[in-house]
Amino acid sequence: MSVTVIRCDRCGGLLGIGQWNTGRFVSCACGSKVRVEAYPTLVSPLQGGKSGQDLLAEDQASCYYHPQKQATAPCDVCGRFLCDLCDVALGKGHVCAQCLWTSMSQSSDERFCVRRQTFDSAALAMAIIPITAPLGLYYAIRHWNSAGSVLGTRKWLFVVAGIVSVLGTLGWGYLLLKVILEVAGR
Amino acid sequence: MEANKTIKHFSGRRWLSGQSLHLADDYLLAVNSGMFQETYRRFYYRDIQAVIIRRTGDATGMIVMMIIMLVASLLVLFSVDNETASAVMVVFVVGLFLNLVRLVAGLGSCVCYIQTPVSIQRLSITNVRTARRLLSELAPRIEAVQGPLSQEDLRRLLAESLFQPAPASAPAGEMPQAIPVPPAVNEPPAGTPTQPVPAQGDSLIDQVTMRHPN
Repeated sequence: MSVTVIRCDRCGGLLGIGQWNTGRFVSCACGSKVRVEAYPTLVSPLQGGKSGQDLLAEDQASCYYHPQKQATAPCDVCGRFLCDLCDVALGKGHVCAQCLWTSMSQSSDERFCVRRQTFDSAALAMAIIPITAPLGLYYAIRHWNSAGSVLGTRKWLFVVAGIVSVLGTLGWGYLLLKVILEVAGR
Repeated sequence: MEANKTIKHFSGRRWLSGQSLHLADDYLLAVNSGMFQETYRRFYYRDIQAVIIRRTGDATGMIVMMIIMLVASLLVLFSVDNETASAVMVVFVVGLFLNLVRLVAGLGSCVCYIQTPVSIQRLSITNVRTARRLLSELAPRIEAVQGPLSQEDLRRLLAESLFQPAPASAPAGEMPQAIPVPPAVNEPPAGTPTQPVPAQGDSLIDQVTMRHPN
């Protein structure tokens, strides 16, 4: 068994095995009260990458990227057969490196994306700022069905943004009109 | 691949900034909210090595300060005659009281880290109660993937770290050879002149005598 160490974030001191999984806070050497919950991955050896097995027969399915290797799983995104070398196991599924890269860079797949724009809060922010109030309404309508946050777009924020935007635009329009009429009246 | 159909909110708010935590089917999702974008970090249950919580003790000072402010605010509230000022003070006192309850119910402040084979990431959890709740939510999910880390495993690890393991070839009941035999020193070839090491006292005189025998 190989053990990865656990350190106290305050002093950097090692937290020994006797301090793990006690179910309560224990004292570190620096006096801090620390609770450590360790899980089996910590004490099990890291699995090295697999290189894939060579084809043994002509009729065996082969990897799309390595035709001389046995296919072990299809990519869940593109469906291509993958060998152990090309298979990227994510959660319960398998993807190829190309699909993973494409999904991450384009944020097209919610399971892999690392960054998303939040159109709902952007629309609300635009609606609140007087100068950009009309843009807030446009933004709310334009991105009503856009893929926003992975956790789901807050449609009610779009509604609020739209209302605020309309009210703001009307208010500013009214003020502008009043000023123009006053200037014209002089 | 099955998509995560259920992402359960755990803690934190998704407003202009800050971090929120969400539990998905096979990973813990940390969402860092910025002004107009969110960044995501996924901690797959099979990769989580440890959760580390450290009490910071900042809450005691905050609680004391809150109590002092609450008492002072109550004194001001009872001494004010103006209705508007009283209403404002009531709102202020209620806010302070709720914050005090939150701090006390949180059972103290803490910092929380999650350790994986490649990173140690600080989570946005700041009170012990939430941290305990996180542990209770995470433990069954992680154990479902990794299996339990029993006390027996830990004891064995502890024993392995304290004592060197006995040689595997040694039969049971036989004492291992305590003192290893040093490797044999090669004898110098015949005819090699050997110089005796001179004694400490007259060594210089002896050497001079040898170089200049007459």
